[in-house]
Amino acid sequence: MFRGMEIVLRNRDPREAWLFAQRICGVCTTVHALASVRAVEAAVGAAPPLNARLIRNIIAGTQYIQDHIVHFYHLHAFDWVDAVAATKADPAATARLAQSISAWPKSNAAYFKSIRDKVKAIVDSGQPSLFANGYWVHPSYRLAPEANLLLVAHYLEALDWQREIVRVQAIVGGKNPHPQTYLVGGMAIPIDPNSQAALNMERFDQIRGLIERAKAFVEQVYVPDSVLVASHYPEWFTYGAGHRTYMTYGDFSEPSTDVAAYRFARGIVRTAKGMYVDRLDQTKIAEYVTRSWYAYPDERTPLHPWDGLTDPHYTGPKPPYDFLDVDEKYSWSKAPRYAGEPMETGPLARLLVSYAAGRPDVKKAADAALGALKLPLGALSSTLGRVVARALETQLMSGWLIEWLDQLVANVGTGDLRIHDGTFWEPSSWQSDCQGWGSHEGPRGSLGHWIRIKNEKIENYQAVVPTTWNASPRDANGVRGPYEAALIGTPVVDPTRPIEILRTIHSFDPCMACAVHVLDPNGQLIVNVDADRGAGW
Amino acid sequence: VKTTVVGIGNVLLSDDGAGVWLVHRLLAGYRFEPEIELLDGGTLGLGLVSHLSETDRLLVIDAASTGSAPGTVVVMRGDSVPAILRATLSAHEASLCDLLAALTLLDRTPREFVAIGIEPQSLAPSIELSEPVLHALGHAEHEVIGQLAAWGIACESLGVASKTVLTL
Repeated sequence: MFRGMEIVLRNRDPREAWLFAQRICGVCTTVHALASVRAVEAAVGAAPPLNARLIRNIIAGTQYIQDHIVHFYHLHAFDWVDAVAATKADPAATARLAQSISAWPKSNAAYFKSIRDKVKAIVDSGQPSLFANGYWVHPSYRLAPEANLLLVAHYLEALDWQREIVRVQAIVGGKNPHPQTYLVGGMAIPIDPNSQAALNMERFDQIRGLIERAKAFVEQVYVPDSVLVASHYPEWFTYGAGHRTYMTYGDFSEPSTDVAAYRFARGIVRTAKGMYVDRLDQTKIAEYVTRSWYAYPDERTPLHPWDGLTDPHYTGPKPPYDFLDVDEKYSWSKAPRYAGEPMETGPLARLLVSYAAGRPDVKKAADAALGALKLPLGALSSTLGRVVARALETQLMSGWLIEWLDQLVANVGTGDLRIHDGTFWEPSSWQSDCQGWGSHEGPRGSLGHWIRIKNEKIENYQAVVPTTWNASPRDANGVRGPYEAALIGTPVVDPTRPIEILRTIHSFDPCMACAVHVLDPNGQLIVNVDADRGAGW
Repeated sequence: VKTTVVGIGNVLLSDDGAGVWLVHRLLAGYRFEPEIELLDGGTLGLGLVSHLSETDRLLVIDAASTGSAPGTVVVMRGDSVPAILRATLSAHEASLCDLLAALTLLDRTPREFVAIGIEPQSLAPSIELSEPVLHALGHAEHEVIGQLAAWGIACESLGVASKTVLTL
């Protein structure tokens, strides 16, 4: 899919870039605003004060919680959970199962019976609804009816619940999606304990309540449910690894601004070569378009984003088509590479890089989960490893959110109400030629915006998003991107209903309508898989 | 009694966005008494559940492929809605049926439900409506106002030439 936001941004005032960049996506809302203001701040030398950085973290952290929960329950769960089988569950046994894995208060037999009966009514009616487009009664489903019912019940609870946490974004960002309070050099929201019209203690308490309720849902519902699913599909800790090369830009150093203090460490890990972290140098990033529908002057030479070009040039067959030829251009995604290598980015990359970098809280969470599942660390390089990593970082994030709020309240308590630093607001304070890189670890992975400013206007702008890394097509050397590599070796029981492929593609949390084409060895098309199946997001 | 009118669809895919365009026309062109909620539901899909879970009377405007001539307006009421939708299906995938099923499972089914469907001519990427669908908006608007009046809601036209109001 081609958006061309880079073209829209040319020649605009760099200070308004985030408003446009944020509209790259309606689901990964806020992440592009943050990467964009950071890119401009890096270019012009602006330094946002602590209060602003903490509020940005609070927006980012709530985005993680909402995004990951929606992904698990509403985009990925039905790859593992058979909603039709849930209609055969015994409600009392479901309640016992629920109580054995969590203290969540709703877990009683009457509740599960009401859910089961309603699901049964919908399934029996044969309506084309929620449960109509799954691969139900597929031999690859492994959960007992009771576990299926438990997860369907939580699917519904999550549907109702996910709106709560993003209220934090409405309080500090004005609205969700697409908060409106970013500003180059800080945030555009006043803090004043003595004003009803500003962020005050009442607002902070409101935010605290929302975060604490989210933390309870994550700890008592999302994490136990992820472990429950994971424990029934052990073979999925052996499929879906791919290249085993992981990259993170790292993020969240507050109160420090030091990269070394990032809670999610920055770096490169190649688990096949051991658990050590190579330093990341962003100048080694470059994008190929050899197999992508863009034109470069030299199609075999990748370009660093500061020199990047967005020149769409569709050469594929006229839709609708049956095949795309992977020896020609076949994707709207460019192929970013780090020092020539494809890199996986996202929760699993963050977990492995932070683990290898010795981040104690990440290590503790990972070791506890691996202990419960009786798995070695290496098992995380897999389809289910991504699912578990996503749940674990949501749990970490819900704790960090409370720490950031505490830091914010404590800092405001010292009388520091600064929210914006205007030293480099006026373009006359900028160098006439400057460039910057803004990075953010968004829920889906490492997000980078690169900007070149000339005579106060944007000369060039490039965003390289997490899904571009993960979904990238082949490069000039024919090397596959992470999705393609991860699918190799995955068994497919029924080629007409390839749920196994969805499991691995969905485990990356693709941010696109991701069409996967499955070919048999003779090049015959077996089926097209739309990874957005049943998504609605 | 809470009444909600929601238009759903993708305004980047020409006629798929007809329901959304119509909601914006209603927002600009009328005052309603008592107040109702008019929602641009866009492509939120199941994300709309939380916005619709408190409503007693729900009117949905959507593109609907029934195989009739482009611009044909169909009105579906109450129990007939799922049955008709089964045969027709909304033009985009995150369907109205999913939304209704989710509301049912959450015990939030609206007491009264009406769907107004507009037959699309084109679903190609474009922010323009096709001629027949543009013309059909007036007809669909008439149906919406008629339904709201049946629910006892006074719809006062603000005198804006509604044909010209086509901005988000």
